[in-house]
Amino acid sequence: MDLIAKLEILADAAKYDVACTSSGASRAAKRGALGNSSSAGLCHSFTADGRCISLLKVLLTNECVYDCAYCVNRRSNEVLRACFEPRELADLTIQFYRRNYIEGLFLSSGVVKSPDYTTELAIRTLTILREEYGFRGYIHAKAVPGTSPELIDRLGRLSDRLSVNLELPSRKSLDLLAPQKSRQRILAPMRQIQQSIAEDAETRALVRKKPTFYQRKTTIARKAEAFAPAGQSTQMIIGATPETDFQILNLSAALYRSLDLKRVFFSAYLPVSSDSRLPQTDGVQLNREHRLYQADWLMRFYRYDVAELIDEKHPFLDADVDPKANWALNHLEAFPVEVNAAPIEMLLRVPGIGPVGARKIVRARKTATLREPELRKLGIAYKRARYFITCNGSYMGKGVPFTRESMRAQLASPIDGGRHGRRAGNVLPGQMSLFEPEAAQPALPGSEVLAQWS
Amino acid sequence: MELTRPEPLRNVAYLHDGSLEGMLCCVFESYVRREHPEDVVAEQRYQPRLGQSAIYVSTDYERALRVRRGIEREAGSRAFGAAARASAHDAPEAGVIVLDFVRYVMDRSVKRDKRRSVLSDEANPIVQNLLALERRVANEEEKMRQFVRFSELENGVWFARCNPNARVVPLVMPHFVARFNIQPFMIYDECHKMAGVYDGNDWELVDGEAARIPARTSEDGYVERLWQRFYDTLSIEARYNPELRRHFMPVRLWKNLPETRPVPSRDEALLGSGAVLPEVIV
Ligand code: SF4
Repeated sequence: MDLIAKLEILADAAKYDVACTSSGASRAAKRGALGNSSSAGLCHSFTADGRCISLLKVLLTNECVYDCAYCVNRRSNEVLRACFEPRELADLTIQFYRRNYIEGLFLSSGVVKSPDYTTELAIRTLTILREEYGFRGYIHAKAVPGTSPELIDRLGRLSDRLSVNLELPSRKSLDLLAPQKSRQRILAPMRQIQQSIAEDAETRALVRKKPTFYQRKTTIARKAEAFAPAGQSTQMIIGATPETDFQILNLSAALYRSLDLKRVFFSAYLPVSSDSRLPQTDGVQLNREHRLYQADWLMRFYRYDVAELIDEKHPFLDADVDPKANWALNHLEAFPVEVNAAPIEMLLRVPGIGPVGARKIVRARKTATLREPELRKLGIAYKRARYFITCNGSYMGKGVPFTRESMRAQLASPIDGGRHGRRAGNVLPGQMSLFEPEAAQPALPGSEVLAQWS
Repeated sequence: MELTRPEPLRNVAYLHDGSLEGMLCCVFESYVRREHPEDVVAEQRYQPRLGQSAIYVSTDYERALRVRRGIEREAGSRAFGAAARASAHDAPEAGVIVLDFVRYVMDRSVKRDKRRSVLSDEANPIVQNLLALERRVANEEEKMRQFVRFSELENGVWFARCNPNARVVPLVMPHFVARFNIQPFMIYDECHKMAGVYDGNDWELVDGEAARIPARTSEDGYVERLWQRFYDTLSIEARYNPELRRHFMPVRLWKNLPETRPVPSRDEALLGSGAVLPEVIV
């Protein structure tokens, strides 16, 4: 099989994996070595459905000894199989990288022979890249559940980010659809990754301490030592199983809290199998996925607690109103806030004011009194914000009664995903990864998308 | 130094050579002549207005440096950086916006809080205009970091052609030099007829003169086809959303991207023949 055909099969099989960001790791350029990574990440192209292409995202092989019901690569599915040679894939990565097509490699794989055997192939590929070619670009590797700890360790030291897919939002669903992957086999490597990252950070913190005259200065060569410096992420499939948004968001909150995950990705289930255990609808729950990302965003960057966003009595996020507006509507007693005086935490809770806008307000109000024109110039989504603010004492939302129902009608924001065929009224995921706020670049493409619901 | 002070003109446009230094010399000139030009633009882009006279201001590095030092002294190097970046934009009003900004920071009669940067005064329209322009240029830089594509030429140089809407090549060269320091390369800006050239050691800016560039290696065409195939494979039909793609990846840039080029270079016959890439500087 020639390389083009192989690439097509193995890229196609990997494309449903949603994590595509290249951000979070920074490795400065070094003379004589190819590449660097910056913590902001870069998208190098966009697919016809508007998703960012940042990494060469492929499977090492789509052969698999497992039989997970939701997966195209499951053993019982009849598809064309292919497998990269480690060197072949390393060379391809370098060739793409040198042309500025990509930021690096995203390597995942079906399970060929055994988890350990598969991981060894991945390690060989990454070793060629890092050690032989001195490659300093970004590498995200997927750890296969069931791999032995030594191999996970080796993989983590070659990668910037390491992830284990949680796959499904509950143990019951996992048992039903992916019987070979027990919960334990998934959580064990996740815990190991978390610990290694933590230990690594500790060693580095020690080294960074000011040396005294009596100590010889030691530096750790970061490339050799750092364990997945961009952290750990995971993803789960939404809509293949009956879990509610309440369960899903609580699970991801727990993952952030207890396993220090950097990102939890959601992926709306696309029907790829006629297995009777799976829903056979044609509809893809893209809108639901979008609302989940919004809620996730609020937890990570606006410091909302999961209990503020969703409760057991209303276990699904509102389809018409984004979760931030929803919180505001349910807490009208906290509004309106005075933009010229309110603390930044309260500004962040105003629909229409995002982190960038809130910071700008705080800066600008030192020199001027802010009213409508100033707010508009600062890029605040004034049409939404006005119902929740006063400017110098006067309420800006006049004309609409200050009640939940009438304001809700003003704030309803149908998800706009374009005007094409099945896509109409839907929105893609993954775009959130385009504007990781760590980058603090207000000008990044996608800020509009964020503004729609901030 | 004794300066000659010519009579102030009205309705005047200052023209420069399109470089940052040229632009700064126009600022200098406006102080010398004590006048406020209506337009400050690169000569190549000048569109005369009715009743307007134009002066060509020649570029003098010493004068440019004096302006730079003045701005840095009054407002700090970050403010100079913002002015420099803003002046790289192609918009016809860019020159005047930068000029107004410089005059504003140099104006001692304006009372300002010295501890805070001029740039933090976002409610001031002069500063606002400059920051907006700077942001547009910074966006274009980001686009270049994303969408510049290299090909490997037979002489071992990696070549990229781009069409930015601002003179951003010198601004993005440091990024590419750091990342691709092991490969000599050239980024040619076909709109502004200039190129950033890195020889494996140092980089410099070259103004474009036509010359023939060598053919691409035959492997280069193959890797490009691999990339095109990879790109085509990634779209998920159920999520088709062309508006969103255009929003992130403006159509004006597509002609220099292998994955979206309207006439794909998949034509085997052209590869490696030397005819693929048109004339350009070396
Ligand atoms: S182990 Fe992975 S590749 Fe194999 S069937 Fe399950 S999900 Fe698919």
